[in-house]
Amino acid sequence: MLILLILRNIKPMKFALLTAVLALASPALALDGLVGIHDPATVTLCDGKYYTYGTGGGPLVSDDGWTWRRGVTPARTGAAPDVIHIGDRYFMYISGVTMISSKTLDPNSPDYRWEDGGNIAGSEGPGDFINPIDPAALLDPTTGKLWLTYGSYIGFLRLVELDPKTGKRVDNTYHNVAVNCEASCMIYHDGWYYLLATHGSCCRGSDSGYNIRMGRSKNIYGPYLDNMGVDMIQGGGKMLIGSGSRLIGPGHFGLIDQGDGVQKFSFHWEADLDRGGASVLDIRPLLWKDGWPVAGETITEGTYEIQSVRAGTALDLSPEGDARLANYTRQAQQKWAITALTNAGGYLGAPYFKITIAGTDRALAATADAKLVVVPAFTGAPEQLWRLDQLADGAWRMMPKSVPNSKEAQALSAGSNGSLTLAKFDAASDMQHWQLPALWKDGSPVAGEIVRDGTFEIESVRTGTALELAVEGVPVGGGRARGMGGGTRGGGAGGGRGGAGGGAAPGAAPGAALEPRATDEPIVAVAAGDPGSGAGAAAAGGRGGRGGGGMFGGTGGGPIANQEAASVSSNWPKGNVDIRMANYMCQAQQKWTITAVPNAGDVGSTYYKITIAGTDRALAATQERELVSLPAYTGGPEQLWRIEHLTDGTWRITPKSIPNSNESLSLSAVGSSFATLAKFNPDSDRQHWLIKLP
Amino acid sequence: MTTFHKTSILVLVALFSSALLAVAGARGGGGRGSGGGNAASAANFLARPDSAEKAPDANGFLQRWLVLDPIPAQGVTQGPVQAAVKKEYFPNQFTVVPKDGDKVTVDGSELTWHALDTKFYNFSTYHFGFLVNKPTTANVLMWAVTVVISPEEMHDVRLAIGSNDASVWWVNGQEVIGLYGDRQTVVDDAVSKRLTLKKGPNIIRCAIHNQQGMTDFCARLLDAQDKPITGITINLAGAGQ
Repeated sequence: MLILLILRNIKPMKFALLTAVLALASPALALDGLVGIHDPATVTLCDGKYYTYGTGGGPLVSDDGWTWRRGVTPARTGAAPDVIHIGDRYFMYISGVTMISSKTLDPNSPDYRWEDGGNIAGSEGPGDFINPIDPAALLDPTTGKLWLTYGSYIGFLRLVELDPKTGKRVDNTYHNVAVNCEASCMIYHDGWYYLLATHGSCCRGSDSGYNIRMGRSKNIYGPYLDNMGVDMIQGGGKMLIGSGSRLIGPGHFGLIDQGDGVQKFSFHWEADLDRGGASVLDIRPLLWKDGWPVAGETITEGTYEIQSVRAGTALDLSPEGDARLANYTRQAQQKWAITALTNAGGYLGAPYFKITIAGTDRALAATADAKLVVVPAFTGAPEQLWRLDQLADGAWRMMPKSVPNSKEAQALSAGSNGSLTLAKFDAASDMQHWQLPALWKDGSPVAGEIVRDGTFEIESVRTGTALELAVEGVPVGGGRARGMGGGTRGGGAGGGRGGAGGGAAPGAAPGAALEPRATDEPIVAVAAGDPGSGAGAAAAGGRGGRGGGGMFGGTGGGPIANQEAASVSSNWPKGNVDIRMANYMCQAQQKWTITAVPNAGDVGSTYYKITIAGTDRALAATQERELVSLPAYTGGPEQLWRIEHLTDGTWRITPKSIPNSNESLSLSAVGSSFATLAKFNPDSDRQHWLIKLP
Repeated sequence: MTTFHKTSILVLVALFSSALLAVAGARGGGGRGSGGGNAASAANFLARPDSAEKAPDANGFLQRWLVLDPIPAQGVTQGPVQAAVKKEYFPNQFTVVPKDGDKVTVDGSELTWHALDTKFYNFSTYHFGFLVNKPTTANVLMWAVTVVISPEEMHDVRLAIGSNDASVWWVNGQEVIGLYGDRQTVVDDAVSKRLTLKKGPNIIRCAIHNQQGMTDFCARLLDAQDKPITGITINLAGAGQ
């Protein structure tokens, strides 16, 4: 996703394009360790450890939320479980929908025993039409009521009320809340209920179109409308996060509220191209803007100004070696390199970072008397390790891993007198809020110093889909038929139909394991038995299979190379080709090179040509007020585009002229799969675009 | 990414391999269980027309269609779908507006056209399969046609559709939308370029290609301001054929 950093030094608009997109130049940090999972349950904290469970069991556990390892398969496995902690119990809802519960998620605890909660939801009578998968629970903070959503592409997404004491249905009533999506999850925020759900297809590796969308309502029963007023029961949904940056197909949102204004969300990517296209867990900050959740970013490595939201001043190195606040004057001692640390552990969703004066090893460190110093060299001491959490407003909380002689968590804080100190984090104050305007990324200065053309994804804010040439796409790394691709099927002990973990753990009832399923495939409600203790470890050796990684495992190899036009364009038509939109899948026909065209505009304005990367095929306006790609750029005014930064950080893209028309029309999304030209409407997001690194 | 060891990949491979077999099994039983359909549940979605004309619903969705029994077909990406819809299966397949019960022969099989109303914004070709006792849940192509009667000539109209899975659409014989891939029906997923509705009958035709599982489609017409058009009627006999 586009990082909307506050770029204090933005100057002319033509530079702004560069600055915003370059903010993505460093690759996002991916969780460490064993993170293969599909349909993860909301990451849940239990006795100091984080747990999640995926389709087929797929348990993952982490001591710190950054480095993950295989966990213990719960007593009942199935598709897309969700876990919620209420009182002294952890309720796990499993597609079907059935429920099991335990007093702990820690298999080493004497209280670890899964108890059967029976069937919870499914068909509600003859002729009812529901695919009862992907359950997710919400404990309403305002009423104390417990709710469950579930459902998929067949029939409706459905809402039922549960008893928070037992986790079971309170009655037989239900409410249909959405269609054409799955993997739903509800959250509550500031008077609104938000229904987040996953659109698109899953389970096809890099060919999966999963994306997370949402609507909101004041009423738990809906209607859940998106930002354009479209009801989710008619397919509406505002995009939270889609594919990008070599990560394809986000799905299965789960909220992790850490308190103090820090919220994160867990989800999976259908394909991480840097991990052979495997389906993996990820955790990102959850921000809020204009009443809607926004997907934040784990901070990327780079050189930053560290700016106090409260004081407006910047972190600076004093001649005495102390850290202090001072007016930012672009001096060397005000430029801080933030570097992810390996093998130093981390916190939920991110590793610890060191913060050093750029170009030196002089490291920011906490002292026992709650001061900040810059030590001559980074030693790896815990007071030099920093935790950077993005807050709901997009600012950052910066906390040392530990403060010498103190057990209290403290955060970098600007004092009311302009001083710099450490203090207990107060979410209601801006004293511990920091902005991190990027100064350098990937060796290039950011903040409007240099214009550099580049290659981008052009994504509609409205639909979340990306502009593309209307040609047959080729999945990155090759085709992967859902449920058919990959290598040899199971065959190892514990393999076969039980899904990951080899089916139910010892103690589970026969048949309790639920199969992974295709996106729009009905499933059979599982019979609930006595789940028992479920103490079986999920040994990898028992899962069978080799060669390719199956439906979720990717190629089983290393990174998948980027797809270039030269490798897939031989079958593209030679003449004009239509333009359309589709879920971004990192494919060649979706990558656009934006190039400034000298002397093409009036004084003070810059026009760009927009071509398919690796080709001269140019985006152009037609006299029908539509879009087309021409086989070659010829310099016509209908091929020149003005690209303007809007106040919300998105972009307006407008042709210099439209043949036989005096109208000024901008690139506009109409539907998820089609773009056109339309009059710019500031109240609509149809003409707002994200320009993202591919 | 920081570290990701080769062992991680191997575990991923092992973890997910068994899922393949499971999904293949689930597919084999399509339509079973609580989420499955049957002729009774199909009646909750589809019904025979009980009037000569029908207006779109309040949101402009076209709820009356003539649908032909499914034809076997493979592949939902652009190339295979375009090849499939360009093949001539029966005479006048791009111009005919059949009557309910009309029959055609395709590859030696006699297929029937069915006039049906949907009770919802979308037409469930999944339930259509149960209604006609011919499964539509795997590798099928379904032709459908409707006739929209416009009270006046309308310019800058767009056809807006959603389909599960791929589909190709024609308005008055002109191909206006191609939507490809394994996908779900989303309202206004694909939208045509601006077109003109004639005064009187306008023939909207589509071919829905379902690869596996659920299948349905929805369609409506949008005006120049992208608002649903409701001031039209559907009359399957309106084309005078």
